[in-house]
Amino acid sequence: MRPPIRFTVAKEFLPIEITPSDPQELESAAFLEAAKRFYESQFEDGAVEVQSVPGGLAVTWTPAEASLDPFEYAVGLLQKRQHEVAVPILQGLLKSEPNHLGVLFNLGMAESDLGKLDDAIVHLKALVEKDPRHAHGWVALGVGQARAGRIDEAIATLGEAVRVAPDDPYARRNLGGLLGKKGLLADAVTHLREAVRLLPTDQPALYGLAHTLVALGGDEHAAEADGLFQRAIAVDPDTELAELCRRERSQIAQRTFRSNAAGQIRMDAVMYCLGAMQTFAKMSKEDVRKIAFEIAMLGTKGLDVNDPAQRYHLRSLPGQFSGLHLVCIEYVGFKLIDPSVDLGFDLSQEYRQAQLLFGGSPGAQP
Amino acid sequence: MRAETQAVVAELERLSGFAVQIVPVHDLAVMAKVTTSPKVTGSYIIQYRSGIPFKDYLVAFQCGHVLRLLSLPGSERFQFATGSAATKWASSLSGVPGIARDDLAPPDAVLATLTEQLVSGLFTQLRSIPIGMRLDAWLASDYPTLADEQAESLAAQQQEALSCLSPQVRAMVPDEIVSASILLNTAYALFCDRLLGTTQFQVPYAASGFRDLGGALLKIFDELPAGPSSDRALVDRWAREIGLDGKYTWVPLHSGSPRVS
Repeated sequence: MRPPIRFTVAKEFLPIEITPSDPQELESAAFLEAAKRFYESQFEDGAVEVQSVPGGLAVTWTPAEASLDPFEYAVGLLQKRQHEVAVPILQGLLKSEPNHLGVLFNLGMAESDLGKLDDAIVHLKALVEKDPRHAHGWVALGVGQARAGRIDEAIATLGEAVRVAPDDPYARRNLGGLLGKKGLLADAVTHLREAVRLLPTDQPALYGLAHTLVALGGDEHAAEADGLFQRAIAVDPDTELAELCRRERSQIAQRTFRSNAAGQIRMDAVMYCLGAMQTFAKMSKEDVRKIAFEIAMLGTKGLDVNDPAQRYHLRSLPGQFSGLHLVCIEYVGFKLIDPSVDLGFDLSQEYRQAQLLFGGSPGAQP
Repeated sequence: MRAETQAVVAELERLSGFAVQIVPVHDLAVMAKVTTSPKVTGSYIIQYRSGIPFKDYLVAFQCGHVLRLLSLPGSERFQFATGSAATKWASSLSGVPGIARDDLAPPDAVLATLTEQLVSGLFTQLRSIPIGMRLDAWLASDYPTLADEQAESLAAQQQEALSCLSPQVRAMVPDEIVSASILLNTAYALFCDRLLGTTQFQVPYAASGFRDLGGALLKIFDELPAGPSSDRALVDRWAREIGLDGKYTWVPLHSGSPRVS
């Protein structure tokens, strides 16, 4: 499927075949007709629309296949995330078929994604009025309302979506997310659990449930959340959401790490930091950088700081290491090469104690 | 990621000895880039615009950039650099057409900075379009299962590139830069149509009379060997064709540690 092409030509670059001698003619009907015919001949198939704009001419070409089934064509464009060009086609279709549920739904969804929220809400409300059993329509309307900041309305709308289709995972996921934002955590968890049950590999649902469990508090919830974050990361490790999951896992690990020491300094971490200081004192900054960055890379896949097993190794430093040991080495390494870096894991107390042991004063550098 | 993309990533990791990190970035100005020397972070970092529907193609393309460089002997690895010659050229340009030279005009220093940025963008195009075309030809030939994403990505790039014809660009960019940019984009559009078996991407440029000049660039692309050792010659020949020769340099990359920009 060929996508449409939209461009604007400055008057200086207009095709010589159609450039009027008088710039005033750029807006004339005769010029626009000649321009349309010229571009139609150049593209050879499909349809061309032209419009006079300040300083030039806007041209839109739509390929021949778009006219065979304009609705299917527009949906295909939306699937390719070409919302900007799909919306005008759907708007045109709506004029001729104002009761076409598919047009209303897809137009509303596209407008919502483009941030044209007032238009989206109008079209999606029209849809659910015409078909009150259209669960996806209710969900899209709720999402649009939420994007517009109309949270209470959105919760009511998504509640209707759940009533219409209790097994719609998107209704559950979005309702759970909004309830969580409102602080109604227990209700949020109920819906998010359903969403995860219905869509076990949906990254946003897994993240939403895990995040809400963390907010509920308690060791059990934290442990369950950690597992859900891991599942979410495994779905696609290269997304922004996966990065959020990794950060939240790190925070859970940090809390567990502190609670294991009942809030006191962890002497194992102090000794790991001290060892790193002693090792780095004999190395160039370049070698320290290599080690610190290698650990940082490992960390992107997740280091388990609460498991004492020595199950990691590095290319840049011999030996077998536990997760906590590596984080301590990384912490000391970055203090040397770039103290402004926040590793998201606070070992400042242990680091200070190690400095005292290493150099006799908190200011001593390895 | 698709298996074929993972294979390209693994190949880069194997040949370079460095890990490859793939990082989504919200609202990244370009679709994707490889930004860092592997020695600084211990890895190649590929950034891509999050939410983009053809991530696999973009990742494979960026890996291809580095693989292409690594396939050269150390003595043949060069980095494209602009320096005083480009700055001097920027200061000689015809000025920004849409800004009147009156009391309300921005200070000369601001205009000079703007022009330097525009010149820098043009040289980025000069370097990246012809070598990118080599990479696209390689992906189309060696990784045909990425063809669907390649077609989507090229269509999106072609749509973005068309802004060079617009009245807004015409008003804000000196003539010399606009003309060169249009020719580069024309060559790229002709190439994309040929690669994808389409005709529509070249039409906006051809209609405005740029087909022959852009076609001359494509002819040079076809005449030179496709291997990476000809990349510098390719960029140099294009530069000569559109009057940009002598305004940039090639800086050797030492000690087998490629820095790709």
